[in-house]
Amino acid sequence: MNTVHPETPATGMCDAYSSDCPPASSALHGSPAAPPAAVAAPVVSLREVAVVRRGRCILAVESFEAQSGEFVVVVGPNGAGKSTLLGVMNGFVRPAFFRPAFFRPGSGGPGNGRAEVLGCDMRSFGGWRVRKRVALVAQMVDVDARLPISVLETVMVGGYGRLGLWRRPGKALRELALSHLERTGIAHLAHRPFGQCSGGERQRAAIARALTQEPDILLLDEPTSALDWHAQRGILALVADIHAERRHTARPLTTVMVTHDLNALYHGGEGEARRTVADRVVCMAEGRVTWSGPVADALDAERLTALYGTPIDIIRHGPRPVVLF
Amino acid sequence: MGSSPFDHAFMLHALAAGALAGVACSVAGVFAVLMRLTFIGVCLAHAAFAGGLLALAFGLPSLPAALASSMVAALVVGPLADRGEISPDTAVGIVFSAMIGVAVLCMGLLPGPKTEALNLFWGSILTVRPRDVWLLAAVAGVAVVGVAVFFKEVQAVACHRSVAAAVGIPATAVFYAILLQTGVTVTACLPSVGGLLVYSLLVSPAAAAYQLTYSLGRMFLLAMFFGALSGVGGVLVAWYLDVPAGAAVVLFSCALFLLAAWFSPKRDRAARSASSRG
Repeated sequence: MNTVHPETPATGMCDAYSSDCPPASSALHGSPAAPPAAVAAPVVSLREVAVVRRGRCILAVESFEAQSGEFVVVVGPNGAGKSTLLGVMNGFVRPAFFRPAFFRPGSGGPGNGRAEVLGCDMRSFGGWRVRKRVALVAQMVDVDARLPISVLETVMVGGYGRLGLWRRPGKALRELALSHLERTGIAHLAHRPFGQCSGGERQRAAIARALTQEPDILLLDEPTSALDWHAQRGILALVADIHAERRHTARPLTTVMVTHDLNALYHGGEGEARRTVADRVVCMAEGRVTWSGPVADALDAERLTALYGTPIDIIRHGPRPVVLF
Repeated sequence: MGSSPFDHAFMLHALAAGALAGVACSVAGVFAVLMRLTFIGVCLAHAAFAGGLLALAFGLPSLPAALASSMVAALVVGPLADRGEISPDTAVGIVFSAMIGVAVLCMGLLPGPKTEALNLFWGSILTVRPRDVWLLAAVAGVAVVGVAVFFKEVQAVACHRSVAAAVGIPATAVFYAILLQTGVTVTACLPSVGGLLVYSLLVSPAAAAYQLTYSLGRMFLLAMFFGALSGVGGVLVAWYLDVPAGAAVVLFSCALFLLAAWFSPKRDRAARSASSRG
């Protein structure tokens, strides 16, 4: 693994947020942007983190980090712990640390465990507060077509966490949500019942909702599963553009995307040079990180064959590597 | 009957209790219908009813025991359902039969006439006391004000709880507040509507409103209107036709649901034309 252990983890951000204060650069509240940090700090820092369900260890990560502004793609077979990893990052899943006895029988120390996201200790009871700054685009699920909520309303929900319990959503939030509907190409659906949208439209609405949240970290859990090829291509291009737009701003977006689609690592139309959406690929199997490295090295037939337990070939289509299975 | 129902104090109490029970139940019912929690409503209603009977068997006041019992049920069934450790069918099967068992046992233990116990079964809206009407007014008022003040949280959690949690809304706290409000509502309805019939008043007005609108605000208003209409209409039907009032209220609400389902704009046109052909 080539993840780097920082000497000085990010601190202080959680405290600022635990009092429900919006970040200084929130467009929702119209404040100016903060100056860029001189050194990129890891926004996600997990070390010796474990998740146990019904007596079975479903996640056992020795080290996983994401730097501010990084785009990390997590791949691996079903049951590898990818979604659980995202759950730890947004506070849905409360992590434990490896017990010393787990690896070093007889040792009585607390170990070197760490689970921090944006400076928040994700083992604390207040870990859920980090969700206001960590947006999750979950796997697509069936929605009741009669659900009494419009596309605009569901996108506005993205800003409700920041507003807190006592403030009502106003014109600013509505306009922010409308601008993100425009950005994701579904402004014409603003007043359609959410349950009556197609799968691709619902995913675009979910991304618009995530943008309305104005997150520092964007988590995507198989955002293109169950979509047709046209919709898949559109969603991936949208995610890549959103990430790229904030790359050189004061608040770069850190994106972590879980996918089964290894061909999603590269995109680009006919005649375009190959473009990669990711900075780094993380391979997971049986709850563990088995490999982490740059995209250029990720598509290795031998490694992927071992990872998925099925023969996988890599061929070239012009400059673009294509995964065949 | 020659006289007007509005000439009698007991009828005015009954009409007020019917309207207020309808409003309180329909607010809880909107959550039950949207969040697919109707089985929890069944559990809470039966738990309240069994708790009340148990208290009567030991000579204690029934309403505080019913409230405690439904609260305990909410705090037990809620986490089990939340973690997906019991299916709704299983929960209803076990809780319904257990509570009926407790009820029959308590009825057997009760000495003398069992009027008060039977009132917890079927309710006795025509003999409801002003104190019970005030209790219903307080419960309905808290429910309506709670929804109005926390509408954005209510909307986010009721329509897609996991999304609400993911954006940083305290969705679990809102969920348990909804369960506790449901428990308080069914308890307050015990003297008037009864433990067996309250469930229908909980679900039918909300389910009827669900058929008619894609706006949550309108759904709450329609559900409250249908709930109040069921309560008032049922009591008036009972007066004019001389039938049991609790049953009339429940059947009135069911009839409203059938009408709403039939005229629902959400109904699949293809299914409608196929059914009319068939």
